[in-house]
Amino acid sequence: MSSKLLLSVSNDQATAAVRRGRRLASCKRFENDQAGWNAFSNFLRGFRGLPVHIIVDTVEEDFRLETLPHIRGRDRAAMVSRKLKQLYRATPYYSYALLDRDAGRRRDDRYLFAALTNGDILIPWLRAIETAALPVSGIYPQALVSVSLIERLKLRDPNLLVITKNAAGLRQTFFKDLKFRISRLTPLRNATDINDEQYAAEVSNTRMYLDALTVTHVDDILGAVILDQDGSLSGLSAAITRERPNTRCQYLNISDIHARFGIPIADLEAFGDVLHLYLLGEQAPALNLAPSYLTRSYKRFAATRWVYAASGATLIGATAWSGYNVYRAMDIDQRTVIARQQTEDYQAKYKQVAAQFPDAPTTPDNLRQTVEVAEQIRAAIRTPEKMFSMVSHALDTSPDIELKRIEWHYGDASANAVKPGASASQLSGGDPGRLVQSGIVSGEVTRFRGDYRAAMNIINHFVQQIAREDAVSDVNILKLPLDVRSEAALTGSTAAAAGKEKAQFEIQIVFRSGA
Amino acid sequence: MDLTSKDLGAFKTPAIAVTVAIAVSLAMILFSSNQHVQSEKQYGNQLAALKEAKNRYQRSGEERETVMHYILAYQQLEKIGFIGAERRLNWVEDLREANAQAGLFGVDYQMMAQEPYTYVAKDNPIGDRIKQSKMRLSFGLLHEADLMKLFRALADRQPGLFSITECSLDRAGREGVPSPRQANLAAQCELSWVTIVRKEKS
Repeated sequence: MSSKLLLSVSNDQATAAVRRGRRLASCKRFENDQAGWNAFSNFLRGFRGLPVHIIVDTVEEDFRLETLPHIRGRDRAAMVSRKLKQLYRATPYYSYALLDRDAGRRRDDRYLFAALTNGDILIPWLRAIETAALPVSGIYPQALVSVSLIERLKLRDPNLLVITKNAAGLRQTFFKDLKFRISRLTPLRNATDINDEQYAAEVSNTRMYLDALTVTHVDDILGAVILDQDGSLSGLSAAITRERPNTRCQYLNISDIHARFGIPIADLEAFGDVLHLYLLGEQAPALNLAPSYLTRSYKRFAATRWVYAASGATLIGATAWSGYNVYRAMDIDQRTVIARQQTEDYQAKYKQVAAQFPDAPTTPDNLRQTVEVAEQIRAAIRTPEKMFSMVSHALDTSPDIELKRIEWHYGDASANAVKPGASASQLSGGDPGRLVQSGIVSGEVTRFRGDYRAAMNIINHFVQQIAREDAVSDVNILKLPLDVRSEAALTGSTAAAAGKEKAQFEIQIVFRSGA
Repeated sequence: MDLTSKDLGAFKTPAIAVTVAIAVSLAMILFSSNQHVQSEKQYGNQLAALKEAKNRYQRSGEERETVMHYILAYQQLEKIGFIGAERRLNWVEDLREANAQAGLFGVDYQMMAQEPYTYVAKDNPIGDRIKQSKMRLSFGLLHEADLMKLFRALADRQPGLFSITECSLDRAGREGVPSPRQANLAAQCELSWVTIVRKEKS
């Protein structure tokens, strides 16, 4: 919890304390004179940057309960602003709080308007705070700071009067159905001989005022809580009940207050306002009398503090995230080390076993793959011998044919499909990439006398001889002495001299795959 | 609320602080995330290495059998020059000797630059290490049977692994009765010298 400077200002003095954690420290009182103001200025020098929360405990205050039509948003703000200006023309210290909605048909809103009718009381203290460049968080009426007593003391009386004796005097704050209604301060300036009956008379006056306002009925039971820090109100309970028997008093002496709030007894004895400073430090009332120009530096301060907090949170989040990453990385690294150790163990075991292997120039896998691939290549090697042999056999039965040229190819089926009339699919049996043999034989018919029919028969016979071979898949005739196909042009002369013309041909031989 | 220069001035230091905080946070997160990713990557690699080492150890018996089975054939391949750098000088010398042995009239050769050997299955793990160099031969023959005589003589020298990919015989305009003292046929062939890039033992 952040530190804050708490200040309670009354007509005669001011009490300051610093709240650190849940405790009050550096409690100090300053008289409302030049010496006190100087001392306060010196006091502030030690608390640079702390926000200041101020309680004002004075009779120059005003509380009003007003019922206004139920509206929302800007309209409500404008209406309430008009009302406040109308009520409190002479002071900048005013504010309001929306209490609840009326039970009537119109369901109007019920507001509490509050003001410090004379702000002069604050001037020297605010000047010192401004000089010290401390941000003012808010200015709160002492009566409204008491509201938190209801929860802290678990008070449940529908008509509740909280009586405290502070530096400014006797403060009576009345709550109707646990909601603030009125507050009265009876100054006790330099009064040392006030007895219980006089205090009780003040309480009685308050009751009569409440009865007159019809806030309470004369027969209503009033719960009175007396917070007595200095022991001067010890007989007040009896005195009150003597005057108004229908009053149920709860008296808390200094020990009780110490027990309930944990405030040191020495502070309670020395400083009459320390209880309210403690309550303000715990929870500031919603109703803040400080004008916006006064709280501007606090808003700036709060915003910068928020930015710092966001920066801190970002760093903390990033640190946590990074820490998690580092933790995970370390965990993984540890597992990596274990895995590396296991790998080395296996490698060492393998080396022991491999030491008994025959000395090999490469890995066993590579050894096997290399030999296997060499065997595959060797198995695929072919020579033109088979084709030459086949052609030779065919020539034996075709003595009228003379070879001019013979070509042999062995390779990719698609690469061999270079001649018209033979496609890649024919060559490879529809399996491109497989190695096949093929060849082209060019020759001519000897002793050709112009008899194309006879020459064609000789060539066909030659082709059939080759096609009979088991290894041959296909024999394609690429060129004949006379192209008699209908789609081809045909030229020649019947007057050509016998023996001058040549009956040339060209055939392609395709081997079976694997042959 | 209208912002004044005083308000903006007050936010100078917090703005620097938040900027620094964001920068430092980002740096920390990026650095640590990177460390995390690197660690995971290393761990993954180490696990793969562990798996391989474990498998290798478990297969060590098979490996021993493999070595025993293939070592001699492998050494023979090394000897003939199938494994490792090309021995072009040996090939040329062996070709010259084969020509002499076959009694040919001389062989003209032209060797191409080495290129990948594509007649191996694509999924073969060592396929990309197999290379070939094509050699075009031109020579004259007395008789067509001399062609195979040359290649047999070459193969007998075990110069390496070669495959004949093309051959053509042409009478080359020599008509009539063959002469016993001159080349009657013009031969042109293409060989493919196949080698494999050596893989050192790891």
